Amino acid sequence: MITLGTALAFGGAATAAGLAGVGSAIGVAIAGQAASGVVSEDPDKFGNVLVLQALPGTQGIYGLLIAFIIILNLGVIDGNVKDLTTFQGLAYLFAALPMGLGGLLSAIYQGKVAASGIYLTAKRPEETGKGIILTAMVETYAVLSLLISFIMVNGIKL
Amino acid sequence: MPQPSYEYALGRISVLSTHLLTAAQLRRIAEADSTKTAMKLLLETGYGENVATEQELAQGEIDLIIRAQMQLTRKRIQELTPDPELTGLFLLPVDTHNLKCLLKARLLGIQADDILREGGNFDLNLLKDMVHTKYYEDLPPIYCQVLNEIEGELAREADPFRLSALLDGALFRQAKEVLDRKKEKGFIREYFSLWADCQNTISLIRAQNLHWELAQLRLVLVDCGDISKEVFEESLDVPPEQLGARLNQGSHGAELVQAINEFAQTNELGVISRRMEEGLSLILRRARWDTHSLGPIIGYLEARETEAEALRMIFGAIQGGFEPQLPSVYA
Repeated sequence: MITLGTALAFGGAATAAGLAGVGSAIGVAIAGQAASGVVSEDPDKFGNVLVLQALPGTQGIYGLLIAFIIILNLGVIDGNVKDLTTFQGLAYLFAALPMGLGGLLSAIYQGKVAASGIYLTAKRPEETGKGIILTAMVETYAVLSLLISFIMVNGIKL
Repeated sequence: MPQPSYEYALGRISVLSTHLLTAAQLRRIAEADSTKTAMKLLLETGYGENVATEQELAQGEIDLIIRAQMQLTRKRIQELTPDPELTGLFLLPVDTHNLKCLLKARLLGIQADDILREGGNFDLNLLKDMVHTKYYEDLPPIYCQVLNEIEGELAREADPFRLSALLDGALFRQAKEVLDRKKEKGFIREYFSLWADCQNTISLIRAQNLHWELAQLRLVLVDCGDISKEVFEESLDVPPEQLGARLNQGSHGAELVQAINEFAQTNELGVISRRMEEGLSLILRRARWDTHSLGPIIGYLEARETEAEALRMIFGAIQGGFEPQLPSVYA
């Protein structure tokens, strides 16, 4: 029987991986649809648009990273799940929230910027680099979310 | 397989819009010494996308190539749009043209195939069958009702003016019905309301100049405008210099007043048509950069139509030996 604290910590891990993953899926889907449109008219642009489509996928990886650190700290991997107090569990849950929410929203909006970058690439292939830079700007906030979640998760003493 | 999403559609439009003729390319074509050279230069740009048959190319008829390109454009728009109903409003003029041609051709006992346009909302063969059999139940209720009314009148008397007016009225009623049902409040409503207001203004001035009866004016007034049809009906006897004040209503009041004042100075009705074209074009240009609306799709269609207009002017000018006046977007 696991404690409420441990369950809350699992909730934190699920929040980080789940929300950021959903955001990435939506963001990649938005960019992917734009990319499909471009490639259906000009298959030669596949290489250019693929980079832009992949960019909103990073939030999912960041979320997975935070979730992984949480479950590592809980001892899930080596089979000895720790019993956490309710406050320790809540601490993990709150620590995971920046990555979950930041990842969810930044990935969706990055997908929209990536789609615009894909339209830019379609019209001016020589400006693909600028489209990538503009899209990467949104990434900043996902990285900030990752950073704060990482610091908080590592700051929890068990 | 086409996907009904704005992102997919805009992706395709982004590529397709790179194939539009540039001002420089048009100027080069306009500088050609003969239509044959101009045609060669045009086809080198990829215009027509090889859809014109060899026979059409051999005939050297620019109109056949333009028609082929426009038909392809309209079909493509229908295929990629995420909202076929709203997009279809911009194709209604094609359907209206086809219906007018088919009805008039039937009255005259001739074939209209050469002047029909593909790429409308209603399948061309279906329209031919319908006009032939006088059975219109497969069309939207507004068109069905109007066409049944027309058939009823044609059985008594053939009046091409009334026929055209009823079909034009059906276009705007259909647009209003779709816009209201879809609760559209963006650029498409703005576009149709400006079009209807200008159209009604032109009809009013024409009615005044030709001393029409109120019943005749009523027939040509169309729905969908910001200004109610009653205002136009009540203005039939208003002197031209006071029309501006009377029609200064709705979201396009200022533009209408400007156009009417210009008309009062020049006494040239074409001024209002030109102002209307500019206004409609401006609405579409403003929506062209939207990333989650039909703006870029309709903008592409409009750009192709403007391009076609420019090509007709250029080839007409080369044939006639005078300087072509290109649309302002190519200036």
